[in-house]
Amino acid sequence: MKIQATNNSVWVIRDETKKEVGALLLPTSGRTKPHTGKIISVGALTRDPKIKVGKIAIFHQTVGQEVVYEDVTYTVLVDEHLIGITDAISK
Amino acid sequence: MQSANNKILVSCNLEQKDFAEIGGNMLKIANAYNPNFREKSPVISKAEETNGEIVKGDILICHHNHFYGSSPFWLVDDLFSIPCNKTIFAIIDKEGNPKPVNGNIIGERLYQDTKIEQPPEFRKHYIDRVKVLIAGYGYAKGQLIFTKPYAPYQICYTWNMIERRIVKVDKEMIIGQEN
Repeated sequence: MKIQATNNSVWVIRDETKKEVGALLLPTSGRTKPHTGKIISVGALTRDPKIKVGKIAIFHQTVGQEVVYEDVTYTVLVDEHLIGITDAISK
Repeated sequence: MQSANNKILVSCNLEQKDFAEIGGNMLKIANAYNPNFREKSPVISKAEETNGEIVKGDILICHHNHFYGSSPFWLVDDLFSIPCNKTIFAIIDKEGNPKPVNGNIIGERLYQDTKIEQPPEFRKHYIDRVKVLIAGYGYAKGQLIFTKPYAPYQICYTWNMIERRIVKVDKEMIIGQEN
């Protein structure tokens, strides 16, 4: 990982949208963005010790800043934006 | 006279707040070069007392909000007592180089790559990342840092008629760094 989060930011790679067989193909802008993602890096000033690299973060769909770096799209959240932490999303 | 409550006394001639002479060299701030008004008109002032990293006699580049005729920070003649915080962006040394102060990082703007070469006025710059020009506050020279959108604030000045463009970022606005 070449990027290190600073301050109270949390870098997340958003989970991919599920593709269902037989469903209509919507343009990217029409798809509902998933509101979960894998935590890649955590800033040193993050207040909740439960926020750790490798965990799954749950957040509201509209929060976060999209940063594209080396063809990877990251979602950067402030620690307050996280509404849940889990090890894995149950199907 | 002394300042109080972590303020600093600075002198600034309101009719000449965009230029200063340092050891025979002319420093001039560009005060209308971008339609984004948030990015224009930093002011040159001179420190009249020492506070923290700023030493008496330093030439400072400051945010413009403190310097106008009826400003609550105005004391007498051309003397102002302004907060000694991140609204003071940099000190200009005798070679015309900026030195970041009060938690500001000095960097340079990065432009987006395009497949075909474009004239400078059509080049788009990144709104969320800069390259560090001067090491400080834990960041090394040349390091790529990511910021909140539109946090980088461009300062354009001429030093002996040679234009220089730098970008300052408040360190609290940094969200990540390249290792």
